Amino acid sequence: MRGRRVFLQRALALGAGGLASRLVPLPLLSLAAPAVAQAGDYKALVCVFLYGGVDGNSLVVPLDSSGYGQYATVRPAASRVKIEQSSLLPIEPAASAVPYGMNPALAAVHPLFAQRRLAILANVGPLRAPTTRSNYVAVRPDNLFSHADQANQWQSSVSSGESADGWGGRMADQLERANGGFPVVTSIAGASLFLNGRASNPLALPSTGGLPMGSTTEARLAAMRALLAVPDTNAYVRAVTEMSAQALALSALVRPILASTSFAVQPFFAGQGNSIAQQLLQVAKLIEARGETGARRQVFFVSMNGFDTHTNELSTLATLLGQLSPALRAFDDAMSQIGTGDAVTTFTLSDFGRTLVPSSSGGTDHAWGNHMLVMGGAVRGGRMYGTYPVLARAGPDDADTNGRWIPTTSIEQYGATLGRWFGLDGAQVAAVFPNLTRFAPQDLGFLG
Amino acid sequence: MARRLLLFIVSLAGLAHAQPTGRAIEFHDASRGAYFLTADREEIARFDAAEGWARTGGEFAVYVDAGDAADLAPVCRFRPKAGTGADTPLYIANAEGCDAAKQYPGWVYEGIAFYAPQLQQDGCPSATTPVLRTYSDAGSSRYSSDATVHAKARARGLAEPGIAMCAALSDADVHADAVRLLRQATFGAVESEAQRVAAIGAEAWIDEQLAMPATLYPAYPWMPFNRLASCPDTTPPLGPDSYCARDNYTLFRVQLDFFRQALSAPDQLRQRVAFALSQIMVTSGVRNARAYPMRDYQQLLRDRAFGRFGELLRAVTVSPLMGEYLDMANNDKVDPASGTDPNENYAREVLQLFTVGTFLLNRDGSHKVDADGRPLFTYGESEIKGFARVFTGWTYPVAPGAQPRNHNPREFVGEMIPVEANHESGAKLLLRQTLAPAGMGAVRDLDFALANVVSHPNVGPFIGRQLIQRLVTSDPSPEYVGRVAAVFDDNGAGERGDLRAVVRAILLDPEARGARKIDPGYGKLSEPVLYMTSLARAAGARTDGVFLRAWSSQLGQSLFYAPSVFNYYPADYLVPGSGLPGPEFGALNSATANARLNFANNLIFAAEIAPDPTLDGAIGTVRDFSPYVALASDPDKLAGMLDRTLLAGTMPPPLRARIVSSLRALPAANALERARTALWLVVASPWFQVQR
Repeated sequence: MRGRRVFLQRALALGAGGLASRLVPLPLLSLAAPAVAQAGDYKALVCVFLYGGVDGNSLVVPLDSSGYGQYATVRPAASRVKIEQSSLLPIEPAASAVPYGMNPALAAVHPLFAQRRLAILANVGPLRAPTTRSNYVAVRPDNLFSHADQANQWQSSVSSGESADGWGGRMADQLERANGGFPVVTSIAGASLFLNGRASNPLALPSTGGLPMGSTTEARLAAMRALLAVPDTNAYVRAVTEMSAQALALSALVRPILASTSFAVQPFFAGQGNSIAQQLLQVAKLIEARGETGARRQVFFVSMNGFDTHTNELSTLATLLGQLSPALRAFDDAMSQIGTGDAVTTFTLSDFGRTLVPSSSGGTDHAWGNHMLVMGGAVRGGRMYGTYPVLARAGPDDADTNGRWIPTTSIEQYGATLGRWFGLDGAQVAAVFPNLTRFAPQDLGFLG
Repeated sequence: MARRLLLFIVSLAGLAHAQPTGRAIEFHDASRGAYFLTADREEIARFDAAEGWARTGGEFAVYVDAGDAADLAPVCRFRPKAGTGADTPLYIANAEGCDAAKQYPGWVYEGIAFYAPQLQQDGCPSATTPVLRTYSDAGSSRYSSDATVHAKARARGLAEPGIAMCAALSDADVHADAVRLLRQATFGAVESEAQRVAAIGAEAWIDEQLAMPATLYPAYPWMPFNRLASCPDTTPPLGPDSYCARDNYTLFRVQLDFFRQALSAPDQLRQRVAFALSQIMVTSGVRNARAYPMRDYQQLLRDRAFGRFGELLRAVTVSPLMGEYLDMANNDKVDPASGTDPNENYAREVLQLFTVGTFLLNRDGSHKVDADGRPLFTYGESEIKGFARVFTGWTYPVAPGAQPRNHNPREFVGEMIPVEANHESGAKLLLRQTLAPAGMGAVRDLDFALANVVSHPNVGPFIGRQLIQRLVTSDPSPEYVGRVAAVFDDNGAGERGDLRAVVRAILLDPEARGARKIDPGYGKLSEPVLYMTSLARAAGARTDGVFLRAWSSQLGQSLFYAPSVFNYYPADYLVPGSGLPGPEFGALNSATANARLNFANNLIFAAEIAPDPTLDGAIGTVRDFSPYVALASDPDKLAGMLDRTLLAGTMPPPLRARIVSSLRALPAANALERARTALWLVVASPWFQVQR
């Protein structure tokens, strides 16, 4: 413990040396007095990014005969992307005239809907302004249907032109000072635009373990820490310097915390060795250890790859959702167990939705608006928010003729609702989502 | 101008000039934005000691006396009458210019500052480099041999045209540029090769590399798509086939062979370019980790790395591995019965990632814009649908002993084959409003469409800029991109898409060459694989690849297992905080930054990196620290050698001081520990992690 304290003081001195304003000063206080009563003021947002563009049309399907009939007309059995009506898991969203069915691989989270811990946000996506089939060509976001561009738009909430930061990072910019020094944003899935703020750096952790520092002797580490305080005029050298210095400092803090073998959240993930479960377990551990890290507001980022289902969509989704769904459920159960059930909200993002019209080889192509899941005790669950699209080729919601839904809810509305619950005031929400004013309502009401 | 510069830079190899006898050093006062350049030793010492002033890293060789070499011109120095005396003086490198300036009332003549090689009619003589004049925002003059400083200043109207003077190249300058070239063109600089580059010159060395045949990946046996029970991972005794499943149904062996050859094979430039191409035209073990298809695909890239871009693109397009990865294999025309449209995946990515990109580009890589300043796009959904129809009617090759079918099952020897029955026969909209006429059939449609793509003016800047980023620098000036794109458009013999000429142009460009690069936005983070190989080569390592393979995923680049067709990191990633392009920073975070330090620590300090007992013929990773051990008794000397051989002379004084003090703290008798410590401090530091 003493060694750790000394190390942290050095790390702090380094930060105070003015090397890098983005360096996160470390929370000495929280270590000196761990587990101070902070449970009363803790909130976390957990972003689950489904890379590749998950097919929302296969996540939530109308179950009434008219709605399902429309679905089955565009996706006949021969297309190999039709989910049988009988295998859909029924839900009855409050205030909805019709029932819907969830993908059968979502069985583990399906009960949470009826328990009002799970909500669906229908047809959300990047928009420059409210958009309809008649004005979409004029106001559509840049490079629609491209993975890289659309994923960046979901993560930055900037739909035209490039952005160097994401809304997770920008939330962190607003809240970093109130967080006792620990980074607001933690990624278990490496770098992403979502995490980058203008004035804050995320912590990135591997999905298991802390940030190991090998067998490097203390003398060598001390020498390296000194070198990482040397200023340089080259921007790339400076960026590496900053990142390495932060990594060394956080390693010393986080490694011992995550080395504990007595986490109460651990058993909930028993038997789930896949990546998304391990990532969510790591998140759960950090939330359980919030007394030690001193964090009061945290944005976590986890991700899954493989949702770009141009072929064999249903079997691929069965596999991927078959991992995601139990992992989400384990996470929600674990949060309830450690008393943070109401303090943690988990939500999905993805590159884009997919065409309702099937493509060759049992898959679907890149599209636009998509249906997202929001989970947690603070969620006003058991409801569908937003507006579910009319499942028709060249219908009122289709951008062209392939069933590419024009979103009826913007990323800004989605993110702002999460942000307001998270504790951002009106000015802070406006700073994080500068284009929010183009849309109404500015709070979708699914939280709080 | 650009072409002339290029000619002089590439002729640096000559050794006709006497060694220079002095150095002009540039200083910067950040608080005032002022620069000061001087070759006067006493003045240099004064600025080194002055509060607020720091060296910029910019410096070039001069001659102190008129008789130090033949054909020298006096360089006279003037200071502005009105100035504070703390801005770079005016230097004029010819007698007439000096006489003229003496008549100008605003300037005070201070005398002859030093001597420089005579500027010739056609530019600087061989074995010298042009020094160019620019201005800082605060109006302070700068003289620099760094072409990037000049290019970026020129773009802002802050540069003088023409050459201010010529600077001789010291042996150290020539060596530094050789090390820089090896970091750009190989898997890591090694001293013996640097000496060779210095001796024969960059151009000759590059041509030698371009002429080398491709090193072959070993041939792996064909395997059925689904593993048979007769192909397990067995227990001892160990033989070549003991780990049949691992060796054929994962990319284990491809990864080992890649690393082994990256460290030791002679065709370094070809392998480096092939590796760059593998990150533009991505396939991934995430989709298919069978060994022989990935081996064939990576070999395809090596074989065509210096060929025609069009031929490369066609080979990639009909590769069964790509066909599987982006779903062109068994992609069928519109089928009313199942309600399916052609799969758009390959159509979209071949345009977006492999050839033209989404934005219409000027030849210098900048975006074309409309009257309102909004970017213009290369294609829309109609063109995607057109290309998706082109790419219908192809299936996998016929497996040995199998009957040909319209949808062959997955098989990866050779190329995909056309199946007219599944090909969309109607006309298709392609780029630039071109229509592929109806009824051409699958093969002619494909060739017509690929020719349409390759002829698009975007390809040169789009591919050229990415290759520059992979090899040289993350943020090339528009002019650099433009020069490379011009060579893509025409290799000088009227041929388009000659990758050999493109690679040559990238590496011989004035922004690539030169002893010192001081522009604050110059260089690139070494991506994990290149960081590992360059470090291993610095440690004199021979390897069976196991050790490097194992670390690559921890550093964020699990070799040939890119998470998606968008590669290991986004091509348009901006470095947080600076806003500069820096694709490789997309793979740098607190976890991987630590992993880099840990990798360096393990590679250098592990007592032994033992052979893997499950690998037949394993040698582990064998390092050779003897060049460093030999100098361990003299920490200053060792630091100097590391600076020269690994950092191309850019070692900052605090690093040098830290090496010396760390080594002095270790007993001199423990020469190996000293050598390792010095090497670790250099290669784990940001100055090695960033290639400049």
